[in-house]
Amino acid sequence: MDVVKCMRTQVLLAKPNSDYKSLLCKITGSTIPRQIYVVDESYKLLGIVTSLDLLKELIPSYMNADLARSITDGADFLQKQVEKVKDKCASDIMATKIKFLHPHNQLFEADALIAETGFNTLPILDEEGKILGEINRREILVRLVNNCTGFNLNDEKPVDLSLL
Amino acid sequence: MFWIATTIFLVAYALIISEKIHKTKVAMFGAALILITKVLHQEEAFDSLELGVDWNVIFLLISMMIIINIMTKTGVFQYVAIKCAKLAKGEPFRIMILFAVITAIGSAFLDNVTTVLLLVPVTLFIADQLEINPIPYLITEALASNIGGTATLIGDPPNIMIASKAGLNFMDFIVHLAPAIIIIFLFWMLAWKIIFGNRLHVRDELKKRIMTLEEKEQIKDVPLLKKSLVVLGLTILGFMLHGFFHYEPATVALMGATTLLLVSGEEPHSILADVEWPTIFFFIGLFIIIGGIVKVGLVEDMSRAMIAVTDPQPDNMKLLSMVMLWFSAISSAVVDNIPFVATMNPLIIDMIHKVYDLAPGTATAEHIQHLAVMPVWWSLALGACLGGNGSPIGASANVIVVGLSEKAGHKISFGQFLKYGLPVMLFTVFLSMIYVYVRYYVFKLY
Repeated sequence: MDVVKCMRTQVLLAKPNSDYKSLLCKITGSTIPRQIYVVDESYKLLGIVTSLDLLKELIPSYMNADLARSITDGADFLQKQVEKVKDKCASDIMATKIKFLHPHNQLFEADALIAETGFNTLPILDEEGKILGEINRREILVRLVNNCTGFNLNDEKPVDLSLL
Repeated sequence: MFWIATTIFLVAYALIISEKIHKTKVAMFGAALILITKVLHQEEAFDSLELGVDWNVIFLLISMMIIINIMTKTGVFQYVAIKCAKLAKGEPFRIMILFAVITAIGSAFLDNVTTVLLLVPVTLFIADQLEINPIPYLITEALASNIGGTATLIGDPPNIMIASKAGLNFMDFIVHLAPAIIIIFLFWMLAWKIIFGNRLHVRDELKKRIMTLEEKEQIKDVPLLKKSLVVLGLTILGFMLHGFFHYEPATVALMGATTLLLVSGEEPHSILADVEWPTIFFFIGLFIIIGGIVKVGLVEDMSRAMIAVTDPQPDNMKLLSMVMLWFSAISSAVVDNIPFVATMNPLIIDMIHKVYDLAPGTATAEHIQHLAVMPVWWSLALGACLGGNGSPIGASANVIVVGLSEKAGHKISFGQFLKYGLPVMLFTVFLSMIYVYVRYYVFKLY
């Protein structure tokens, strides 16, 4: 099956000059997408900003989990860091070495590439590099379940731990 | 053979200085050329005490790297650094002094690079908390690591090489170099007090931030910390006594490293993988190249030139000591001090043969450690180690500090490092010169 048939076409887009604050609002305001595609005027993909990239910007290069534990007021520290990075724009943060798929690639190829790279989501681009959509791990698994017999998608409900 | 070995040596040296090709690749390829052209036979390269690889140096380095690799997993350095910042009550100048002291002591007993790698992140963190420029602190730590590393046999690779070649023990370095380093360090801190004492200020509310930090959170593994400290303590005790028991320093270090590996529960695969193998192979390659130029007589020619310039006498080598100190310092500011010392060691040995009129290869400890020769060895050690402060590329610790600082958004330019490093290098070498002159040539305290 071609990836174009199961890709999601609703994605988050940003311009290269979008600032950190707008990127943060964009990614936190959306329930599902975990990455923002930075595109030019003709929707050609220039780079990707993930939620991890936005988190990494908040953490100074010298910081590690051990040092972080010594801070008693972490919220204050993070607030200061947001102030420091608020003027950065998408082009400063985005990753430009991008793994992608073409519409005619098979679902199996998407699975293999995701397994190989460890990325959660891959963009699907046309021959000119314009973004058409994205495919993620969950959608591949959903498609697998739908195509196999004996699975019932409604069997498992999440457990609300706060009610225990 | 003379010109083959000389060409390999000169080209290798030029490539190492240019940093166009990784120095390990240069040294290994140079060594392979020395062997393939039969300047040295393989038996000579691997087995000869005079011409071959100094396995004492190699095993001492590997063993200390193993001990350090295990110790870094405990978080003890970060604990001490935050504790010191709190003891300084967040006062920026006191923090600078205490961090310099920790770095110097750490570098005296561990590797300089590891010490700064562990302390730089904490320094950046503390500077961030105090909202001050971290650059003076970082450069101070790089300088302190090179100064502190000079004090002991295991503090800096040049000292390990000198100790092995001259047959000196750990206590020789403590008795002869540690006092010089303590004096130099105190004078340096005094100078720093004049320069920075009244310039570093922070608001009281920022100092309070430091006091709220939890240093205990830095200790990752208390049982491992206890084991590491016991083994390191015993290893240092072993170094102090190795001369008395007639053990080589490498034997003591290997005992410490393997004991810690055994009791730590750490996987040998990951600990051994973290050994700096490129540095180890750099040493191996270098020893073979230097063995080649010793065999063909280039070192002998250089030794004759040195004798002609400095006129060393069997009972007095004052001018040679002074020239050695400054020549080593200036050379080490621009050239990696490891190949420099690797070249100077056989040169001094050859010079000893000529001054005491000995047949080649017949010098004994009596000649190599002659009272007139000892100041020359100490001058070489002081010059080669302290000279590293003269430029940002003069020592590995400087390169690491500059790189980490830039990554954290605080670029240290070549000139900026030079502004601090060069005066400190000249000042500390000048103090060393006074120390060597007064101790060995005025009071004759050998």
